[in-house]
Amino acid sequence: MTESSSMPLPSLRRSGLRQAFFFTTVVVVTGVATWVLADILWRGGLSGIEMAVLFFFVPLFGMVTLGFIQAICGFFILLLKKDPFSISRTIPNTMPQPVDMPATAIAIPIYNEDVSRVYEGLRTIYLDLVRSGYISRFDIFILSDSNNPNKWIEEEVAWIDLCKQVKGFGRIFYRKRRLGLNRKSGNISDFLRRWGRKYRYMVVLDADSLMEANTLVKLVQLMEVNPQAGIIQTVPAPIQGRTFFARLMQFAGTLYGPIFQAGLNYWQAGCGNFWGHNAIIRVAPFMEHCALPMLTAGANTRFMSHDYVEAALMRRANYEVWMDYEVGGSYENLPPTPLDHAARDRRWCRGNLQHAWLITAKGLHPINRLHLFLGILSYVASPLWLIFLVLGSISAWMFWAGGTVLTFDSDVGFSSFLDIGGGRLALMLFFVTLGMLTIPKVLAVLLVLKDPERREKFGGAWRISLGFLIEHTLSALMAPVQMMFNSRFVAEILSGRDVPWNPQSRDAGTGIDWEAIISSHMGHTVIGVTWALIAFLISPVFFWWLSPVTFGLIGSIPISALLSAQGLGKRLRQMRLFTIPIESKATAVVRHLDKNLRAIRHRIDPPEWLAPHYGIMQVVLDPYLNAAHSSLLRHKPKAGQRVSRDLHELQVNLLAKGPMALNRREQMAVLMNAKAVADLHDHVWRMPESSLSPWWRLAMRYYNTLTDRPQTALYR
Amino acid sequence: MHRNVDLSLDAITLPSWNPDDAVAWDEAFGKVENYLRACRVASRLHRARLTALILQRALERRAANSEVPLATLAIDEARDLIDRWMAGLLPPRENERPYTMAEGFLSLYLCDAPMRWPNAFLNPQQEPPGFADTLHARLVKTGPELQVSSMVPRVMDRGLIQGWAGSAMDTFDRLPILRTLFVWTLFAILLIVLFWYTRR
Repeated sequence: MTESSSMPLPSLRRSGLRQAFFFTTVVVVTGVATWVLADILWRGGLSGIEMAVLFFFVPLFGMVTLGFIQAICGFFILLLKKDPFSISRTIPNTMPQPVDMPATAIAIPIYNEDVSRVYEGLRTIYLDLVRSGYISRFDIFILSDSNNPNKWIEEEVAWIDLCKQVKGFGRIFYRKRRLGLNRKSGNISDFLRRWGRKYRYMVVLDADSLMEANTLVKLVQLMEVNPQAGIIQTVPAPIQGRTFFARLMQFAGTLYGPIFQAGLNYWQAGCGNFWGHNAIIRVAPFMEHCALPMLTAGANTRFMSHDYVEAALMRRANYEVWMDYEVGGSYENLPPTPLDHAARDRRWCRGNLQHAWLITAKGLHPINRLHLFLGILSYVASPLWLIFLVLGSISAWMFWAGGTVLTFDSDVGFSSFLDIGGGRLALMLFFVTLGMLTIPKVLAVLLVLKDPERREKFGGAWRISLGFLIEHTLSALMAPVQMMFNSRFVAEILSGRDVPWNPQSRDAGTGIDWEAIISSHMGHTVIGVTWALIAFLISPVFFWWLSPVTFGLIGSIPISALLSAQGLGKRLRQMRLFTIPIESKATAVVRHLDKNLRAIRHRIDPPEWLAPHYGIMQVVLDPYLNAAHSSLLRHKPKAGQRVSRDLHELQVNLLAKGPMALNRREQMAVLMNAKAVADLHDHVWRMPESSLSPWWRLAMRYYNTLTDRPQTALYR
Repeated sequence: MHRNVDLSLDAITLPSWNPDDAVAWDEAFGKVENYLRACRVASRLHRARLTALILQRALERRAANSEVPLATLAIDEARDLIDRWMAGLLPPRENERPYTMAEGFLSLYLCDAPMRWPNAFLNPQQEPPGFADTLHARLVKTGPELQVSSMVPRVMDRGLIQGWAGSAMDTFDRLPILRTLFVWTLFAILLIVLFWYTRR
């Protein structure tokens, strides 16, 4: 591609050929492997358990094959640097004039998030847009669904402060919903119903997203050039990992990610997926076609993972959904510890399992059905692996208990043609599987080693190789633990247990949470030890066959603690191990965000007795924040209007007994009423101290003396 | 117009010391001082001066309001003083209602007055140039003009699943006992299969 040239996308019909080739290869490889396993097991008949093992092998090996073929395709695309289906290549390298660009909204739905991280990310994006001269074409909306009073007030204060600091009034907007109906997708729908008609495009960001101005502009440009595109998803690069685990994940994501992404784009083309954030959406068709119906009419259940469904609905409406893996400048944070990762998986697991309802929905594109199916399988695969391994163990135990001689080595079937016996054939199948899991990573490493600039940014050849070895070993050890977690999640969800919608943890705090680690992994350790003992009793050979699973389970507590350590993460960074290019040569936005977040970590936190109710204290005591909060509430009190009796009772309790006398819902009820909020401010200062709870008396004395306000504090 | 409220030191004559009232005065002093700190009057000297002035005004009103606690009287005085000061800074526009004190605080907050002009609070004698105009120009806008439109979910035919599986799941959701019985039945089938398998 020349400096300013652009290439239109080929017809989607051509992508059909790619899909035919891709899936045929997957079916052929899976078919051959299944046939080989059947040949190994079918010696002197096929027992019930062997039949079951064979049955479970098909989807599990199919998943491995799909990932392998995808990586191979991606490898060749990146090696040849030629992908006609890369949507990035449809625009020239020149940037458009701001006047030629349509109005675009940047929507950031938030729910009890780390306010500093949200607003510092937002500040960085805003200032980058100002610097690039495109700010006039973008409006930013913070869409809050927070139901924690502290977070709510912190968000409001931070919004006003940020607007004051960057002169963002009239450009950065804050909206708080009274009721968080339908969670994140409901939050976005609510925004679109109110303001959607004003914008041609909407960029959806997550609380921890970061995007460069150039990327935002390019996304709009891509939409303008490709009117058939309904959604363009960027691939957010992981950043700011501080724990060993987060650094490991971001290293793996950055090193191996590109070949998998290029491979994914190879077969999905314009039938891509939406990941819920860091993507641009064409607003009009999204509003017309992507409003989510109830999941089940009778049970009043809603979709938890809305993004895949929205992508499918967009495609059903004949708009394409693309993944732009080349655009860059799009970032996100990763869960800091294995337990946080598991907690996120629990939410995603339920969301994905819900998609089973849509597999047969009319009008969906087959590739979207496949996306939904693969999403389900990615979680169901864990219990399938578990059953597969348990069946294998039972089978071995039955042979052992019955004193039967293993017939694997009898020279029958396919192995007799090769003259190697069933045992060796089994070993070959094992190594082929292992190779299919390892080769994609090796290819990704080779691609980086081949490019001197990237190699240097990853810390050099030996650090990449060492990082690869450690990552591969640790991911193998963590895989059985993830299998156990996911199996539990699937079982819990299928048995009807509710999955709460908790905000994602994006920062590990300061220390290792031993209590949580031990209680979460104790079961895994016990299962691992028991399983290993049984395997050893059956046969030492079987014990070693099973060791990749049992060793991971037995070591789950120390491994999890090791990976959660921030100190170790810091030391590894100093050694430049698991370094990623963005750390070696950070872009301006990442540097800016890093600098601001580092400064915030040094601020003084409110004392422990004050912190849980800091927000409500600010609104009640501070005349400025009381006025600001009241003005942001939609329903203003009329003159002479009184609050209801229930609310009055809550007010009295709040002042006489302190905020701890009210539960979170009651606190929110008080804070949502402008009259009640104004009254509280008036009463707290006018009432004699003897009528106030000791908490308020202390709070009045300490307010504005002891702590920094918990807000974004830079660039005043 | 009350803009030129007399807040000079000359206007203060401290009340005579009476040990019987010490606790009440102490509470009133603390309350007013805390309130002014909540108003972000950072200068201790300015705060002390304003506190003394407000207490003196409370003392003047005390005779006529003997049943009202002294601290309450003092806070009322403080808020009255602020109200009158703000009314001078933010005179109502033509045919419009006067600004409320909350709106005054909001304007001060939005133009960052406590940080930009730390000594301007309740200090009309030393009003910084452009202070009143800056306050007046401030307004808060949480969102652009609404353009309400609809986003209605379309009916989705889920095919097979909507039929038999959907109705089964809906029934299970409505009748948890039936769901439990179903799970038990599956478990019983599993036991039977294992029994058959191990004895064949």
